[in-house]
Amino acid sequence: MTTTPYLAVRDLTVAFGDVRAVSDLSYAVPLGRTLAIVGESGSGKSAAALAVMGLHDPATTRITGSVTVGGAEVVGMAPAELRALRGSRAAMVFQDPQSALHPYFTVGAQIAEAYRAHNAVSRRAARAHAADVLGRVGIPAARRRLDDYPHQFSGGMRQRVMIAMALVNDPKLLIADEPTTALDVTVQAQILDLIADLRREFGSAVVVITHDLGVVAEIADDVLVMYAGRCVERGPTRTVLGAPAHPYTWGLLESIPVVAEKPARLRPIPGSPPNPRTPPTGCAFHPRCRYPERVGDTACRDRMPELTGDGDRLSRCHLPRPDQVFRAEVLPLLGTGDQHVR
Amino acid sequence: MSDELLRVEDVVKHFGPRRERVRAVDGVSLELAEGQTLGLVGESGCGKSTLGRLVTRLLAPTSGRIHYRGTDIARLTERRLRPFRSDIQMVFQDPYLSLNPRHTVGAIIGAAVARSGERETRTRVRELLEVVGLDADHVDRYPHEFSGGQRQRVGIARALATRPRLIVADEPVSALDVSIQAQIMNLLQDLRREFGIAVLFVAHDLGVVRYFCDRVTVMYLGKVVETGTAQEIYTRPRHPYTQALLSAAPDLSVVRTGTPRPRIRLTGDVPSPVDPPSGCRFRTRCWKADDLCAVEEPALTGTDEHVAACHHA
Repeated sequence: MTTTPYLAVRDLTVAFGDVRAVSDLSYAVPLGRTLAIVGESGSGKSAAALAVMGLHDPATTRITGSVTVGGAEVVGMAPAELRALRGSRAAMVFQDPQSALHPYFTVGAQIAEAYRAHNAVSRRAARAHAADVLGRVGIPAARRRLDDYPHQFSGGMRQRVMIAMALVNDPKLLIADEPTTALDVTVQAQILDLIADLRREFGSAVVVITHDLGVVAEIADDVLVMYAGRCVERGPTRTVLGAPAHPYTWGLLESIPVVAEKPARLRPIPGSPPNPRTPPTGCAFHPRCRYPERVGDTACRDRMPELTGDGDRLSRCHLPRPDQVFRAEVLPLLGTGDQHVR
Repeated sequence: MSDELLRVEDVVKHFGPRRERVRAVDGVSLELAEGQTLGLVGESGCGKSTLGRLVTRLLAPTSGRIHYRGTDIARLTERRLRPFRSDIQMVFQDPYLSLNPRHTVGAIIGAAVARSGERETRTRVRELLEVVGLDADHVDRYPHEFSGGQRQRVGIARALATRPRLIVADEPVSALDVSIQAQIMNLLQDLRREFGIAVLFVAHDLGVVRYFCDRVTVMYLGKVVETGTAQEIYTRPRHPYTQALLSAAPDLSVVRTGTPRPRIRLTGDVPSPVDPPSGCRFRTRCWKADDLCAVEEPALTGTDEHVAACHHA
């Protein structure tokens, strides 16, 4: 079912002044699939998502490359066209529903307005539709709750309201930026189930931005790992998390204590993520990497590795035969091992 | 319990006026031995952070007793508390908010070092910076010159400055990036082993708690629902809430099995602590609840290794 992808990002670069937040980023998401973009703070994962939605201020941001949503080019799109795209074909859910909902208006009014912005319908019809989507995202007694204000909802319910508002026009592309980070685990599980259900039901393309590899494992078909503004590894979730090829992905796995077992000791990545104003030379990860000597000469310090790979998994690393290194040196440290094997 | 360090007995903390009283902590008991680590887990509003602040006596309890090495500190005046303040230290969640931005880290940590000459204090501060893995020459820098992970190290150095026996760590890694979280957890692990410090570890991340803690207490709406050794709680959880919590935690194991684990789906949200349900407080979200649960509050029952408060466990 690999038709033309609904969302295609090609060589995307996002720069604020002389700071490059995103460099040469490419990926594609077909309808009915979920891509997770993983990275730590400053990795550029949110800046890249905002570029997809055309949400950067053109006065302060320089964007090059191409982003197509359903065939339409978003980079350089006129503001009126962008507004027509956002909220209808493409919608975004933010981390903090508290700040994304207007406190002075009822949720019914806010959802109905989002519907009427893209559809010529009566207030009454819009209200009925709003009740409908609230019900669809699992808010009990949806019709009655239309007249409630955001503060009258709990954190989990507010996130459902946000998702309802994003879905009101049946978008073909849904981008969720850390949709569950602010929520408790039992509520997080409900929201992840909801996003998975919606993707199945409507066949939309979904992009989830997260720092949590557990969330990735539960929800994503494909994963893209970002470091210092670049994709360092991407591919099917089972491949990337089960047998990762990039030392940064290894480091993330070694840093996470899992619920299922007690590891003897975590092996953290040393140092901190680089400052985007002063990125390291060569491979941006080399100052924190364990393997530059293994590569020999000064390749890691001098040259940015290409994104290469076999089949549908790509990785950006100079290390030869990373699969062997992973199996021999990394896997034994990940608890019982079979946890992460394909 | 042998070499008991802390024994919290039936502690209650209510906030607000009578009509809208928030029962943040509503009759909690727990014990901690010298050098031991106890994880305090539960969702927002369960009272775990309030309990941590009661143990450090940043808050005074409404009622109940807090025995620290044999002395009940629940009601002590500020002056009498002073010797205990250096014994019981706290590490906070947000390394950005918990350090005064106008003071150098030398001044911040130095203020906590026991009174002595300026030179001795400075030597001790440099030593503490090295203990937590920072460069001793950064003693005159300000908090904003450090990254989030480094700031949390400063917070830990400040806590260590008084040579405490007990550290209450309230979500000490949840504001940090994944790669930095692991650094800080390993540091805490090393320090507690080296100095024999007991830790009350308040966290919502069940993986972090499993990694760090000998024993675990699970709270729900101001009550303890289950306590036991980490091994027992994680492999044989008895309370339905603990079972739901463990099954809801996103886990990498789906990568191996290819199919998501069976997940207990809790419906609804945590009820308001102003007006908690009668009987068992979890009953409104519990799939095992029956008439008994509405009328009778279950007591904690079980063995020394493992107790749970459920009529149906």
